[in-house]
Amino acid sequence: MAESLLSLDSVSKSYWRGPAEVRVLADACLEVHAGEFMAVWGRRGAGKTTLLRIAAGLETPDRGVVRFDGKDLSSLSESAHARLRRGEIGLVRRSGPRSELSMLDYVALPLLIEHGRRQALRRADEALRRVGMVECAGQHWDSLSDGERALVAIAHGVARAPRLLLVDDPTANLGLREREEILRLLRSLVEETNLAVLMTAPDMPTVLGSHELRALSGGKLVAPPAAPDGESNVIDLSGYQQSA
Amino acid sequence: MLELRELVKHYPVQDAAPVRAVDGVSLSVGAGEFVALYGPSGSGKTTLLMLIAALISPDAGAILLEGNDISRMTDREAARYRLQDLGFVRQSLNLIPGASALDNAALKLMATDVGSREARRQISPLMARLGLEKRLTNRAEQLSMGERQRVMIARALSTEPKLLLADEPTGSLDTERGRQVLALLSETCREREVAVVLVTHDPRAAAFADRVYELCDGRLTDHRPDLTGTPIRAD
Repeated sequence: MAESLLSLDSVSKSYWRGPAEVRVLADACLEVHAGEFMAVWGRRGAGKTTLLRIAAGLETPDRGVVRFDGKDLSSLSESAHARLRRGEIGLVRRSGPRSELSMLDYVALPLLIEHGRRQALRRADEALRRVGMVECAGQHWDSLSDGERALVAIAHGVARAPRLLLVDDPTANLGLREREEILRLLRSLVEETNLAVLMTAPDMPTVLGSHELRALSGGKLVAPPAAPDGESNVIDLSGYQQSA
Repeated sequence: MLELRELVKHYPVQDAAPVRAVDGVSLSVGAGEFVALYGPSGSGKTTLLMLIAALISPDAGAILLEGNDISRMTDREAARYRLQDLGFVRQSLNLIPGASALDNAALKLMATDVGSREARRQISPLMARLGLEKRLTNRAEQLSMGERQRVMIARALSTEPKLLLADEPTGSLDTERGRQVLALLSETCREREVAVVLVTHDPRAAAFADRVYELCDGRLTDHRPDLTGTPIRAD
């Protein structure tokens, strides 16, 4: 298989909560390739957001090596780090923007730093169109449903055409139908654009549509048992909708 | 500058009486004046701010900014109003990771018709006024929470708005940093003659205002809440 786009090699991270040390990652290992959709699930507080922040280079691990495109993030200069975060790695946050701007202007914001307004708006329009939200371009965050907000947050994340998209629990508060829509969108982005996606989720059903799955528990990333011979690791969600 | 006339916003509730989120509020705020609306969670504070920001429409009443009723604007006009004539500071800090403090502050100005280089040039004095002149090239993730909130204030004021709305802007800061941020916010807006409406449940934050009203069940009361023992002004 080709070299991984993102790799975490024996990464550990602890926090102090009062006098107690909380070890959220313990020798965690992970590889995500271009064109791959990796999902990590774990309970609240398991360290999923920390994992994404370390993968994005927004936090440094206590131990271990994080590589992007073969380069050790700790060896990069500050400006190279910043370029990576601005251009090659997109981050979709769970909290969303709470912005008073129109969704078109909001999605265009990060593009304005390196592009003129006209080009930024054109690319923002394309990103909204790609996630099926172009009709909401003139609306504002508070007027959108939770499902629409998740789609706009993804548009914001992909507008700069990153190679890796880190998605923090995009299906929180969503019904099953909306969860399916988000997962189908992420899968189609991966398959059509060779984007790599690393997504976290609090429960198992949410992540069944991914290519690869890991559980984050006790600071370790654990792969589920392999699918039986001849069966796909990708599980179709359609049956869940009918039973919901 | 800003005048609210008998503003009403009710939310229907199935099989129950509607929630009177804003219930006949009248208020005037002059240029450079700082007004705080103080009240507990659910008192209607955020609904009132959303009405003033033209994010929702009132059921009755008028919202006049320099004599123009913003509640009658089209969606496009409202979006333009929020981009150019209004500053909005919230508790959440929406900075772009990997982008410098200067670029993060200049983003809203860039979203108007000002080019990126000119936007950076225009906002630099404001960054200095907010004590960020030595942090311009630092990335968002290298800034403290107080510095991040000051970048958000710079972004909100970058388009030289007439009105600034602040929704619990110091909610994510400790007491001292919150005090510093509010002092800077009130001083900077007074200098620039920007009318400020702050909503908060924190009496220490409300104490920075020229006038304080208590909001209770969607109605403004004209008695000043008890702010005993809290700093009145951070000089």
